[in-house]
Amino acid sequence: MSARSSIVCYYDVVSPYSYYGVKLLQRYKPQWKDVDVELRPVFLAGVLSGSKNQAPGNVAAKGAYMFKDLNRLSTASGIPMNFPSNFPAMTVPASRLLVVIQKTESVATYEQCVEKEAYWVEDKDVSQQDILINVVALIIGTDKATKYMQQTSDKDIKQQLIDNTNEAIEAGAFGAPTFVIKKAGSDKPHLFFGSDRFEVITAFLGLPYEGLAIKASPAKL
Amino acid sequence: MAATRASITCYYDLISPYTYMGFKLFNRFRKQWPNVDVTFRPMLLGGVMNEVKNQPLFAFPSKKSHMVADLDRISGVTGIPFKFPQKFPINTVLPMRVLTALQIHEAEKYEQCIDKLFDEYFIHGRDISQADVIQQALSPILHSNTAKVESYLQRATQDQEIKKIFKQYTDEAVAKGVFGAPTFIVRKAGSDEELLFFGSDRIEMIAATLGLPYAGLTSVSKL
Repeated sequence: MSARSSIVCYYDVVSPYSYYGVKLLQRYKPQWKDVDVELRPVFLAGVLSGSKNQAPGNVAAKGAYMFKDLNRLSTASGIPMNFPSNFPAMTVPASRLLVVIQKTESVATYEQCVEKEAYWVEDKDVSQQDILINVVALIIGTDKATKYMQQTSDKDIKQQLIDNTNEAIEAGAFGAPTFVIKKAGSDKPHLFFGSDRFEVITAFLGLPYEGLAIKASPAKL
Repeated sequence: MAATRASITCYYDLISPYTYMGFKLFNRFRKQWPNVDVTFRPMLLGGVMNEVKNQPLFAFPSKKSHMVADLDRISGVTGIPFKFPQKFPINTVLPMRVLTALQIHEAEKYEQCIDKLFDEYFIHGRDISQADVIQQALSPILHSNTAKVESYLQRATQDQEIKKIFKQYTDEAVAKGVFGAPTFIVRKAGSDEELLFFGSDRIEMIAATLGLPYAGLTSVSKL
């Protein structure tokens, strides 16, 4: 039991609403001094099949709505989005790479890599290993990027992504982003689904809600 | 021709817990929106789901348990009472057809009747698929005129015109891209473009789109 509140955000780079969820969470994070926040990568297809759910795009009317909804969210929040031409991309290599980076690098560096807009703004095909290396090389340099990519074939790295995914399913996740929240002084996990739950989450934690257009705070060095 | 006022049409079915919550929230928020025309249009959610090959939340155990927890939390934050009914789902064709008739013949009481039937189901857990429950709930609103409610109940089962209109509304929802409930079809003043918003959690976005104030979930009780 922790004296601080905590949020674990389960995400997959392939999920557009995870992209928004992570971006919004990162905007709130500097304001939430008493909340521990962790971004934990999962294999979304595994979460969907594990919970016997299906992707929203499988229902044509939902898919059509999703595009419009995402565009409106982008306008309202000021978070850029450009729907990628290769969708859905196979993001297992990206997720494994993020597992390695989370294990090895500082939290700030890891989060910078998660937030990188290669897929959701720059339309880079993040299913390709060489593209992934180039993307994270901008943050951690080519040598480390290459080395970490090699480590994605390590058994324990693969297992870590599976463990994260199973942990999310056991917590009750059926999609992404999923936020598992514990209030300070309590061990009880509360599951929130979706990038549209920040108003409820902030009220739940007794924190101010900043609205759809919450501003990013200036980068700290 | 485009209307000079903004409008919102809310497609609803009494079966949907998020529509209950969305209806309650929307009605609070709209108090700050005097220049928007609002229509609540009945549809058969099961019919829409079948047509677009969507599946209800409660078909997935993990989604259902999240839904109940999520609605309890929204209830806690907003002060809007909510109790997941023991008997769920139920067949809402009868009360939805009654509401279709009321929309036409009792326009002034119509919204109050929707509100009442939602409360019966999602606060008091009463089975609103039953004619006697509908009768008891609605007659106080219609001046304790039980014969009147009886006639609407009869129309709901026998009047081909009411059946046809309800079916048309449902088909119209599908044609507009509806795949769940609540769905809000929004038009800006002076525009014919129909903007579809899905979910009780999109009211802030609707307000932003129409340039209207959004008071926030924690202020709902003060509206």
